[in-house]
Amino acid sequence: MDFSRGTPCATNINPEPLNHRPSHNTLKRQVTDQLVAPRDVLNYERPIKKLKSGQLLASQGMDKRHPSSFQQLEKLGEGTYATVFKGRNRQTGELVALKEIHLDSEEGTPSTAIREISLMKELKHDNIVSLHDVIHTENKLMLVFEYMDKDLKKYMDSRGSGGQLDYITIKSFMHQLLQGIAFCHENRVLHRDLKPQNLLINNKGQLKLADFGLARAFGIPVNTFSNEVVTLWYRAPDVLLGSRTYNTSIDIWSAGCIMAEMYTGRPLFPGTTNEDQLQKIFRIMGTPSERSWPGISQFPEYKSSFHVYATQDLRIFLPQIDQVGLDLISRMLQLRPEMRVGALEALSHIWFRDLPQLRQQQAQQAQQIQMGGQGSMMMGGSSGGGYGVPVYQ
Amino acid sequence: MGTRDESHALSDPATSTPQLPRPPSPSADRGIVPGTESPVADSGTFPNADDLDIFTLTPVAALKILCSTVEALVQITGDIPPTPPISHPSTPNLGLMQAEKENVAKEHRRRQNGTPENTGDVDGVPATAKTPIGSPEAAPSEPLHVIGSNMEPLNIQHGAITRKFYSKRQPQISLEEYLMRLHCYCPMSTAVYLATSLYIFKLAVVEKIIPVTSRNIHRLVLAGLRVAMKALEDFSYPHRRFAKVGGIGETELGKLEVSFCFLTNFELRVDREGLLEHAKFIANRESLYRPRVDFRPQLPPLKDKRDMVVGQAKPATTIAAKTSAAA
Repeated sequence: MDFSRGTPCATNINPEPLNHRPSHNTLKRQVTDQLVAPRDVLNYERPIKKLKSGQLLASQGMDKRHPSSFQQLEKLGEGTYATVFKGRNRQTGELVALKEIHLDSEEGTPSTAIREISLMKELKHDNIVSLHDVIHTENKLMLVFEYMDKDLKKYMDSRGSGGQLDYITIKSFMHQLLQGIAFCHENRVLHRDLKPQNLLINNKGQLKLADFGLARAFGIPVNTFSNEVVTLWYRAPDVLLGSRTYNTSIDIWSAGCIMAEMYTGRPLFPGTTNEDQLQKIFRIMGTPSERSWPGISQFPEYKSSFHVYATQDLRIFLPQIDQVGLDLISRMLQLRPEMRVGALEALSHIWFRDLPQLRQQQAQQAQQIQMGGQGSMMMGGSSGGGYGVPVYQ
Repeated sequence: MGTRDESHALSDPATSTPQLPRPPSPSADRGIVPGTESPVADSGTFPNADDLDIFTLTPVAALKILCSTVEALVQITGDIPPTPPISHPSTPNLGLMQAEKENVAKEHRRRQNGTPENTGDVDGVPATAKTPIGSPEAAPSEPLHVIGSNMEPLNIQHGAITRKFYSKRQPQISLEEYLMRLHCYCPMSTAVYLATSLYIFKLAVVEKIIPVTSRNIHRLVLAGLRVAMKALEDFSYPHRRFAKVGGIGETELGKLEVSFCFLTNFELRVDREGLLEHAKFIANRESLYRPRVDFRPQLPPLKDKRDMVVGQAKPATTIAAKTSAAA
């Protein structure tokens, strides 16, 4: 089928108010009704009807010649600029996530969409959700992503223990998270919105970074670097202090917050406002001063009236954590950005050294259980995962 | 995908945990919005390729690189008919053509009645700042097709898209004047100018998707700058303001923008090395044929055909003016 001709007319991209005129589609139909070439009319109309019945036509993949279509299934979520649906490729049966972005805003194509597409097209990695395709129909863009079962927050909630994850899962997820971050940073991209809701998990226990709408390239001579970045709870102190010269270390701070959250099931610093967020951080990490952080008083949001808190031992808040893991997380949660560990360095931390063995043992245990007739239970199964807990804690 | 937050936060069973704050909005940072006054004119002298550093390169110098790239491409291209005959003879799409005709008529009526977007100040940009680049060759409502890499009708789709960038007549305003005008009301950064230059260079030379001619350069750079700014900066000018300064309607800007994205296949990421390499390449090329005031211009050594074309095609006025100054 020649899809190109079936594409709806671009006039629909920015619908004007049509109070006094017949709607464009009506117009088209009136015009086409008068024509003598029925085949053209059919070719032209058919895909539009399909679109209306909830199916999508798309150009598929990089090397497939024939366009494929997706069946739109239930809605997965809704955000400020996009709606996400579950979808199925009608040729292969493969599940996908369809992110629908409306173009009819007054500002043209949202910059979030432009960034997300341009960055995810290039960032191909096991720990980054892959973007299969971009479809332009009527007044929207449809991004076709690989399907992931749930986000990390939902995954944690689905575990019985108040959102807490077991030791092996945390280690495996942290390793994958840092690998995804390291890949972004190597490619000079900042994610700028890492949080459990933006980390997606599939039933193979894989973790992938998603939502690159706030991501951006760094290391190029641009004019504007916003400090309204990263969801408040995961926002680094330098950004909260008003820095516009932040770097890769802001993603590491978010990763540290996420690691703590996997241990406790609760956000580590659940602030309500910028000031409250800083206070919640200082209450645990200690209030910094010119002595501990030379130059801090130069930050736009710095106040000499900050309440002075002493530094607390993170172990009080993370009783389950082992000594080596504590060392890693405290390197990530350094107040001073230049003191924070880099993603690559963090990956070579000794805390990860036993990860291959742990995974192997876990796989063996899973296999034994399976042979025992209890069904397959991979890491990340719906209930009582974490076989390693009694063994390794 | 991460847009699942909100629904999640609402149904969160963990009651004692406060609700996840809403996602951040980088453009909400008032500190990055540039003032409405025109930027201080930087010297903007054309850079020397040898000591070129993109971090010290001024925006105006980067703008000149963009200008030089596009002008060089125009000279290489020559005059190419804007609408290559569609090489798909089977079925002319009468339905679309008819709808298009209606739209042309509609647009014409709208223009005659005078549209509000042509009058009044926008964001401190005076009404007189409307830049005359004329009407587009393609109807504003020309259908935009779905693009898929390696899909069979790709070239035809691209043909339809590239048509959108053509003006009916070559705009009176020169490219450099046009860019300086944009820079006056909507100053942009070195990275945005260099990235746009690189995008257009790739489209014309590497991908060979669009011929760059004096009839499409204005819309091409306008869309390129718009897309580059959205891709690379945390702040971009209001649509209305940018459209007005660019001399086209808001709807048309929206369409050019998305068309540009699809032409480039959304390959918009740039890095320091890529920008530097490109800037050096253009600066080098420029120094080959740009005569200096203090010496008599000579034809550059002819290494390949392309050099020859560019060398000869440099506007005679510039050379004449500079030689007479030297004499």
